[in-house]
Amino acid sequence: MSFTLPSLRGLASRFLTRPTTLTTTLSNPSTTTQCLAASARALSTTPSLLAPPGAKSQKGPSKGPSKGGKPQQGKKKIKRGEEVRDPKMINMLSHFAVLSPNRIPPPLRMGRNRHLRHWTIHRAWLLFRRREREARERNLMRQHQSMRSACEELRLTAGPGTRDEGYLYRAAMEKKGVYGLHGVPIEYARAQTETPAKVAWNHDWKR
Amino acid sequence: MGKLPSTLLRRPSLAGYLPSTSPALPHHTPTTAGGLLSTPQKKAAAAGQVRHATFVPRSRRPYQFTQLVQLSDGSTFTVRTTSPLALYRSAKDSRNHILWQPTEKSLRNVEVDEAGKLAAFRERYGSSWDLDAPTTAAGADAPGAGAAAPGAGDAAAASKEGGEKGPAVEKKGAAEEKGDKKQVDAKEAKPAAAQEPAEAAASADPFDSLVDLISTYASEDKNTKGGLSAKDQARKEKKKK
Amino acid sequence: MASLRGLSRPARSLPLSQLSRQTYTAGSIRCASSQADLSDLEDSTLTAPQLGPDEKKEFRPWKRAADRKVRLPSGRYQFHPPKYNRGPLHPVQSPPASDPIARDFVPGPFNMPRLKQTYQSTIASDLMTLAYTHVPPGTPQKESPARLRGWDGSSPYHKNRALRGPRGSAVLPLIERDVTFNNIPEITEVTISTYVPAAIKDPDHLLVARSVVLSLTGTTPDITKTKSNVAQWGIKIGDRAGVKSTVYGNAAYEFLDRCVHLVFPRIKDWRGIRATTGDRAGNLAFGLSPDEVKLFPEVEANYWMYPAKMLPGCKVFIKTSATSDRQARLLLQSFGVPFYGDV
Repeated sequence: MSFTLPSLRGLASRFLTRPTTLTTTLSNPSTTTQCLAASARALSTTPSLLAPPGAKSQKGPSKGPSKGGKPQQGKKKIKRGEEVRDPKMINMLSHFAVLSPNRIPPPLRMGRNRHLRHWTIHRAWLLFRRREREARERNLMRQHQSMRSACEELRLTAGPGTRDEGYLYRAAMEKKGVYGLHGVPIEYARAQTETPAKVAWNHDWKR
Repeated sequence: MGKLPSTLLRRPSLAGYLPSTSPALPHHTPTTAGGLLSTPQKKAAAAGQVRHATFVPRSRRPYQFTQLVQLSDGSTFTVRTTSPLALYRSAKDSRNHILWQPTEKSLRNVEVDEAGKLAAFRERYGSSWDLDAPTTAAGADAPGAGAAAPGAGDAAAASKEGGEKGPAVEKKGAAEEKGDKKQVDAKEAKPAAAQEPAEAAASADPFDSLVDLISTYASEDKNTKGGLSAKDQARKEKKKK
Repeated sequence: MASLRGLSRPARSLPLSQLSRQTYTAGSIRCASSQADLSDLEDSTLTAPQLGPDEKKEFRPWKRAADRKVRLPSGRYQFHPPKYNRGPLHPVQSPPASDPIARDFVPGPFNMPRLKQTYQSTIASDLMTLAYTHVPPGTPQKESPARLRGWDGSSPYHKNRALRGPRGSAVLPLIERDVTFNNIPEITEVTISTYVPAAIKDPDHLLVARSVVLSLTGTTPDITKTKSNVAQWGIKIGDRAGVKSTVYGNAAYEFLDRCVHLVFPRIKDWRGIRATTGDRAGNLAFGLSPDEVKLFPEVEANYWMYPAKMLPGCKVFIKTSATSDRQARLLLQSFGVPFYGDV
């Protein structure tokens, strides 16, 4: 535990100080990490430690990568305040640096009992999900079959009054405008919420 | 991320003379390479398998928070989001938008005139309807004055019921087909109009200018950009009926 | 030890013998009062009968451990999943992704998206009812038309040759299937993509686009490359000038929820999605301008983080399991997406 502390502190300090070192002073260019500098200067041929951290190869007209090799020139440039990197960019870069494959924490490690506990819970969860899903599917199937039997009944029924057989069925199967723009009324899209609204339902509502 | 780095284990016959660091070396013949094979590679060659190794990546996910979202009608639900706010209150969402709630009367495009300032302005400076047709306005004012003539007390009594219908009847010539809509809108405008004293009704009808304005709203061309404004929706509904 | 941990600090400082006696009596009393309630709990040392003196003499776990021929794996044994999958026949297999020690483990669902809940409880059955088409029993099954062209047999090499594709296009359009109980359209995935050609000149644009898409989707986006050479536009094949990200399942539902209920209502003069969208296979798409991307709660929350001029617009592709555009439109309409224009 004791040997990890300095490294963590180093990491933290590097993170905290990076924006200031990059934007204001250039006394110690070696504080920048390689991955950041590499991503910032995609086309540069110079080693990342030697190049000025704020330098972008695309910005300088016709002098980018070839001149970046000399740290003195880079210093001059930054001192003149031409190539100062936007702090917002540095902020975003540091966010992506956290997500870089080098920084992803290793997979979890679990003791035997802990792993077994997790395994049990996971199996129970899978079982629960499976039961829910099957109940849903069964319900849908039941609905579909009852619709089907109802339509079959309609099809074989002579309609009201003097209508011939299947009149009601034909009327029921007419699907005019189902796939149109107003097939589903827009008020239908009232998604469920976890807590109700202040006025849960407007009882005066009329279409 | 794109293509993930994957290690392709080479055929055992090639594994001996192709070092993993520099695969671009010129090929040797297998006979000369036989002496270079180390023992594990020999074993692999003897097994004669071809295996592909696919890198199993660790997932790169940003931190996600559980956020409580409160819609404008007060209902809440939780979402997983990258936004660090614990509670997101939305001022405008589908619960108070006319496009999603076309039947909601309170979202209709009527002016909010609680203090009666707009009505007062219109009373003082008139409305665009007056500008358009001064002669017909004079003609229309006459029956209005006649209706108001029987007495200020009568007009005050009528302000409740007649306030909705009176102007609509008077302005028949202007837009009679808008009568239904007028009633609805006049109902909205009633509190503002009710503040007007009775003598205003006697001199110049207080609903006059307001109803004018509303009728100009209704007769204006529809929003050229937006598809279904409140007015269009109302008009469509009326057609349906 | 577990019982010790639960006690308060002064109680922990008591001598162990005294403590255990106290807790034992307390436990037994409680047990006697409500035996039925504790029956569900696993066996506790508190409820076990106390050992007699000879039983205590018998109980020598250290002896059992010393006598054991095979060493047990220690309790702290920790398995490291392999870094590479080497095929199904390899002796070392990586654990399934649901296993928490797996490298590709993603911690499970933390909430139930309300759109998903709504879909499962109401929308699915309603869509099924709405699009129900009755097939009377005894109806012969419809023959699907032969859409692949055969060879005329003018050459002996035509024998056993695979059928030709349709004229004019390389892909076969999907045939619409009727909506039945096991064929109800649903959202499968949502892809968000951004094309930022300005990133060719200034890579900062790409960085901004990446972070915007990352905050929208909650996944690390991929960088896409330009597919074509256009000299006038200054693009050439292989330029890194785009970002995309795909979300599935719960995340897809939540993204759609945010779009429909929080972002679309805040767009000025918005009429809806054009009804002609779609790729004839049930995948609908729409675009968002930079001003509209700005309205997302995630972007809005730390809007100061992005340079305002570099904020990208994006295209959103909603992929559904529907087999035609009209079915997909029906699904999205039931989710509250307004459409406009000709169907």
